[in-house]
Amino acid sequence: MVACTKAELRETAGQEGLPAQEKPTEDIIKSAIIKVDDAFVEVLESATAAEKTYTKAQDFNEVIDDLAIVSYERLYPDAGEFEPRTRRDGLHKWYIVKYDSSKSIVKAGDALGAVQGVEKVSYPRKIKMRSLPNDPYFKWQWDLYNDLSLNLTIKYHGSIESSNQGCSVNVVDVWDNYTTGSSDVIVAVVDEGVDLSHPDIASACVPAGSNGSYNFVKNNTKINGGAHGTHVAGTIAAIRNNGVGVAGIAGGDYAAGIPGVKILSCQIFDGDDIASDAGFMRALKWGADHGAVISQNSWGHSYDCDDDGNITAQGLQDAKNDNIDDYEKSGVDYFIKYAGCDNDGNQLPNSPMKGGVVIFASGNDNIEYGWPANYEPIIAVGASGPDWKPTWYTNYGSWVDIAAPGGDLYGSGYGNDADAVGYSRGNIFNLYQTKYDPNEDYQNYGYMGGTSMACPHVSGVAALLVSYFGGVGFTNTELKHLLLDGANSNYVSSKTPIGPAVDALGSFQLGIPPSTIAPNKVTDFTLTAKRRDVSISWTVPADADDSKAAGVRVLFGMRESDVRNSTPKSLASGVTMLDFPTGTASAGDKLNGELGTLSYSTTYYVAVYAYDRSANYSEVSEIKSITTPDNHAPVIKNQPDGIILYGTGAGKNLSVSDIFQDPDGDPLTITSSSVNQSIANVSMQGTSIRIRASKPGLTKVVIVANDGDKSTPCNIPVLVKADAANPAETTPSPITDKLVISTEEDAETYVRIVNSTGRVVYETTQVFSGFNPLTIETAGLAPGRYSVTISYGGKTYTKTIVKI
Amino acid sequence: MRKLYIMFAAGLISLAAAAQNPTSEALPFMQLDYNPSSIAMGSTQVSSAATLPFCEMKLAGGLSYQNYMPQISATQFIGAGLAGRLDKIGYSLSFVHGTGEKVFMEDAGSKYYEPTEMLLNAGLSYAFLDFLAVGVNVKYAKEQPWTNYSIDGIAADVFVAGKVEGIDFAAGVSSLGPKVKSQSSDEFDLPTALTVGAGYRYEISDEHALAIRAKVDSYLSTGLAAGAGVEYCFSGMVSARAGYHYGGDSVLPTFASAGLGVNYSGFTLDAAYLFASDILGGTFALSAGYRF
Repeated sequence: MVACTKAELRETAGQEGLPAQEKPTEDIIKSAIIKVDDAFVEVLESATAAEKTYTKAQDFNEVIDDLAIVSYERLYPDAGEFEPRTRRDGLHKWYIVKYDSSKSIVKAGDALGAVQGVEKVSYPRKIKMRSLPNDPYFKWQWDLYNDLSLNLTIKYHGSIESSNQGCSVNVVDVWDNYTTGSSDVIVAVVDEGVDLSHPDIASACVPAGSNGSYNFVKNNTKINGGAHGTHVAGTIAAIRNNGVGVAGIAGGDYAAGIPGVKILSCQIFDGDDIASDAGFMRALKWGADHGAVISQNSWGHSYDCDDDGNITAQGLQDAKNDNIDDYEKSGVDYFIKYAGCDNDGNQLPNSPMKGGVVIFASGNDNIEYGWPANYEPIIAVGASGPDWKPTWYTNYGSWVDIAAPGGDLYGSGYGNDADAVGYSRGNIFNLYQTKYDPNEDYQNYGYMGGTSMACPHVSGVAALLVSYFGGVGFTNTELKHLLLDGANSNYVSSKTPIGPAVDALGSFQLGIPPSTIAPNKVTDFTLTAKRRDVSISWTVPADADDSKAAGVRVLFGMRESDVRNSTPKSLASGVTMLDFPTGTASAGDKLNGELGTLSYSTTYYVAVYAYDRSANYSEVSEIKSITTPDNHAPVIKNQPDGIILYGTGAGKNLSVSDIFQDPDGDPLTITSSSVNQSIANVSMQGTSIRIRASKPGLTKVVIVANDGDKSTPCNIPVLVKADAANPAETTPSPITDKLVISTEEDAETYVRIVNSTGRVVYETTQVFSGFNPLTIETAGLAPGRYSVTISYGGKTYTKTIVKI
Repeated sequence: MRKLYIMFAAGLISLAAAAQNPTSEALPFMQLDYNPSSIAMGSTQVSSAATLPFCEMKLAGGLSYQNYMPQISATQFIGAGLAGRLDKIGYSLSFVHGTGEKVFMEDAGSKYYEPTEMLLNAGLSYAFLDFLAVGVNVKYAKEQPWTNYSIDGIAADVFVAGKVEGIDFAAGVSSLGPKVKSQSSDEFDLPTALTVGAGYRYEISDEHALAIRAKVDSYLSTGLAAGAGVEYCFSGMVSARAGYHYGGDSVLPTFASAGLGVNYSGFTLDAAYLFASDILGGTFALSAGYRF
């Protein structure tokens, strides 16, 4: 029988020669449930029986690494006496796989689904009794949970104009079964300032600062909270289930200790002041540059010429003729392209999504126009009432992408319900900035209505989706797909179209379908070698169900047979694999990549496979070869003369560029050493070589230039003399078996050694110098005192030495 | 002519050896002459207690100073000694201390140090015949070339000396002793030599006298050395001396010397000066003493 041992992969990885990683803790682990075929059952059971981490299935082993899988085990453990029927009904084929939560569910699903033998991938669902948050004003948040208990009837001249039909964003089941939000997700609220001290949202706000929430009206870091901005932010991220005030759509679960999404306040309204010099666009870009992946914008161009709340014929004409300015487009495009990404457009490691979404309110003028919301890349949000119908004020048209509760006035409670306090509960109840109106019964909270209120509902649902599906590989395109294609189309109005109604549960249930058709193979790629850096360029292949390949996997090695016998999922020994994601490029675009720094004078064989987001691989390309050129070692262009230093501490600097050059122009790495550091030491100071004297004597320093492949040493003799006044020197002192006599210059030199009574024990005339000194074997000298006479160049120097 | 040829050949061998790896004896200052009257006559006096039984004085003592080899590396020797005889027994005791020029000692903390040498000499002799005596000197020598290192050694001089019809003579071996070890445990010979010396004093008149002396040393390690000197004495009070020493490859290089001596009522004052030597030129010695 198969043991249902949980394979703790990270703990045993080190034993199998793989890099040991820190084991993720339970709270950062995600799970997937897979159903495997009979052959793969044997593979998994064999591995678990042997208590091995990795299996005989190479493709599954790669997924183990890619997803940082923590464990896999049978969903239905060995049932003992009932194991036969368990297996007969196939329950032994279900495995639960736990992996690092930084990996997106989409990526995990694709990766596991691509493993040969995996028939199905599912995700564990949270199961619990439906529970509503304990926020006391949640009962008035029909926009989030509408059980028809609120009487939201609208009467006009005594006739019922509208009634509560259960409209909401349908988020409660999402909270129960998927997520309540993640603090990894940041939503930029481009609006009035958010009251960062509001007790029901303060902990969700990014603090004000030069790298945080910022006031673009005053151009400083002091956020002045406003009712509108705080209300919008509260709809998205008011702290949920904290027993206070209201619940935000992605406000986490305070009672469970789960923080919700973060709010980055980008203030463009401050009282009657508006961010000047198009500061609202700087504010929008600010979000992308400070971690936000969702830009929430409840503002737009104004067509109310006389500011009386009504659009005149001139205003309507202005709206019709209006267009988004290029500078506005550039800011929006920038956010969509670079949010969550580095300078090169690659997803940042800690970002939940590659690229951003910009969400705008459609406007409250009840017209068919609305800039900049109708700029195509923007998600435009219209407002609906509790009856699902477009509100009387919402701008509309085919350009409106999605509808959300924006509230409607004059509910039945008006004037009759002490709780209503002048506003209908048909509007949206959420945060005000603190002490907004001291006379208000619900200080810090209140009703507001408009597309401004509808828009953050979409932003909130988007934030939930990113919280759950986000991770490495999750894109803004996929978010848009989930958000718009998962919306509820049952209530689309043909007269005043504002798109389908945002439906949180619908979007979550939609999920992301795997890709099933492999991309076309790469038909043209070229290789170039600059020195030993090999570059590859290719044309992005098309993909029948994804429009383009998600990337290419390049296999290369030094033996053609190894490359030919490798597959994208199984590499022969000596074959290296590199992935190059397509990113934002389109099919047919030319892309380039680097195979890295390889060996000189070597032929490499290269094969290319295209892959899609579900790890379906194309056929192999033509196998091409490239030979890197020869490398020439660095050369010494100027051999430095021997260096004479006078006195301890004396030094001399040499320039690397004066000594070495590389025939190939390779950058050189310089190292230095001294043969005898007690005489002279050497150090590098930038491109300068610093030689410093320690004590008298002769040594040499060795400077080595390396071009990354070959090295060339340069030996520089260094003579350290006690002082310039004594050019003739004897070392060491005292002597034992050798006496070294040095001078400054090559010259015929007379040397005589006499003992303490005057006996001449040594006498010679030779040519020597400091760098070619005279060395005398002195082992035969008896211990005692001797005098050395050194004469050259017309000068005579006498030294007393001691032999021990 | 044959003798000259041998001397020339010895010189060649000596020069050839000097250009090879050098060798030397330990504690060479054992063989130095610290007596100015002897130095002035070419260092020809045999310094052995064996000669004491034939001296006229019964007891003598004195102090000496010598600035040795000042042109190359001066050593300042100071000494004190006494010698006497009791009938047929002679005895002597002397002490010499030398201080060399300062040496920069890198491995001693890069400080200068003054090397020192010390020689303690005690002698005893006995005239077993009226004209012949035997004497032994025991010498202890120590050299401290730098502060952290010293060597020492013990040696003996054994001589037979005599005096017959105005001619005094001595023969024996000097500085005979065990080898000295270096820090690396290499062993080195002492400057042992076989020595023969003789002198003759001729009284020209009551006021004038002339003395000659000669000595030959055969060093076991380094070969022959020889010296000859002459002294003129007026009224027994003033003496003028001159001499020449051929050092060859021995511990005491070649030099010429001259000197003066004064003797008055037992007080003596002697001086010597060395010249005609690029090594020992400029060396001078002084002594003062009293003879009973």
